[in-house]
Amino acid sequence: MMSAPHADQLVSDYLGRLDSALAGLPKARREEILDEITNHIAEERSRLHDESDADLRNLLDRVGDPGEVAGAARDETVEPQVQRPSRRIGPVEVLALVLTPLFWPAGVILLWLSPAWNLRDRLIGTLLPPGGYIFIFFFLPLILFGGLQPSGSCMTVSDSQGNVIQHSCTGFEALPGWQQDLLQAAGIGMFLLLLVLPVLTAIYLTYRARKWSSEPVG
Amino acid sequence: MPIEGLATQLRKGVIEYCVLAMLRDSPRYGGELVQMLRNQGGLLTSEGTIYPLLSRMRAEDLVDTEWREAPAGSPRRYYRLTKAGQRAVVEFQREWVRFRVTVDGIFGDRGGR
Repeated sequence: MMSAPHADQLVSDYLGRLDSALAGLPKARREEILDEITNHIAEERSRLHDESDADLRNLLDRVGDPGEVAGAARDETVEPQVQRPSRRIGPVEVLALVLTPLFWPAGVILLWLSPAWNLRDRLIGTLLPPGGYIFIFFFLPLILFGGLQPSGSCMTVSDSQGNVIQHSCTGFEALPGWQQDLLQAAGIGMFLLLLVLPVLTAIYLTYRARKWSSEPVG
Repeated sequence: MPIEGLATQLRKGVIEYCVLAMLRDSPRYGGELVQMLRNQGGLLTSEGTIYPLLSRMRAEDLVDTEWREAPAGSPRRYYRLTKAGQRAVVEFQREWVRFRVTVDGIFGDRGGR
């Protein structure tokens, strides 16, 4: 029978050597292994009737050389590929795709959080068009019917008999007819483009996310 | 390959599945698994190496764990087979039987008597 302090010293020496041998492993794994082996030794010790020096050394021998245990831990840590982040289109990506056109601020935040898109994709999602449909339906009418409407006016000066002395137009109205038609057509075209742009952007982002998820995990 | 190295390689190949198989009937804690393996003889040379193995199998979701009170001392981490673990046991058993039959068929009656 040896003294308890000496026995405790042997065990804590062993655990100290194990702890240094486990250095370099992920912290959680290192703690888990150290914890389990600490408990294991404590339980085995409680089964020894007469804890002799030889018994205890025997016990620690059976647990194994710290280097060997750490070596096994290192082998086991390199092998599994399971813990790598999986490249799957998840709820975040789906929500980002739905919300970017419909509820732009939330969608864009998710767009920037998800690893599925690179900087270019994120910029496209954010800026084409900025604000998504919220912008188009709430702000575009203001602009269209406010300041940006084709503006211009004509003035006719007549004499007392009703003969036109002078007829002059300014701004939009001053343009020849075919140019006015062209500008109006361009305006309608721009409006239609703005209407489908969020959908086109969402389709592009979906394509990019699918491409991302099909690439091998690096 | 020297025969000593061969034994080590064979042990490494099967120990994981033996541990999984020992969990088929009920969850067990590490010390319990070590004792069972000790009684089977020779599969586990350094008993401490079972813990890195268990930790890896947990990371791979072959087992999960729960804490249970011990009669004395600190609580024990019990290891339990997951669905994936159960499948792995069944698959290993099928492979192992096929393997054993093949090798026995080649060695015939002259094997190790």
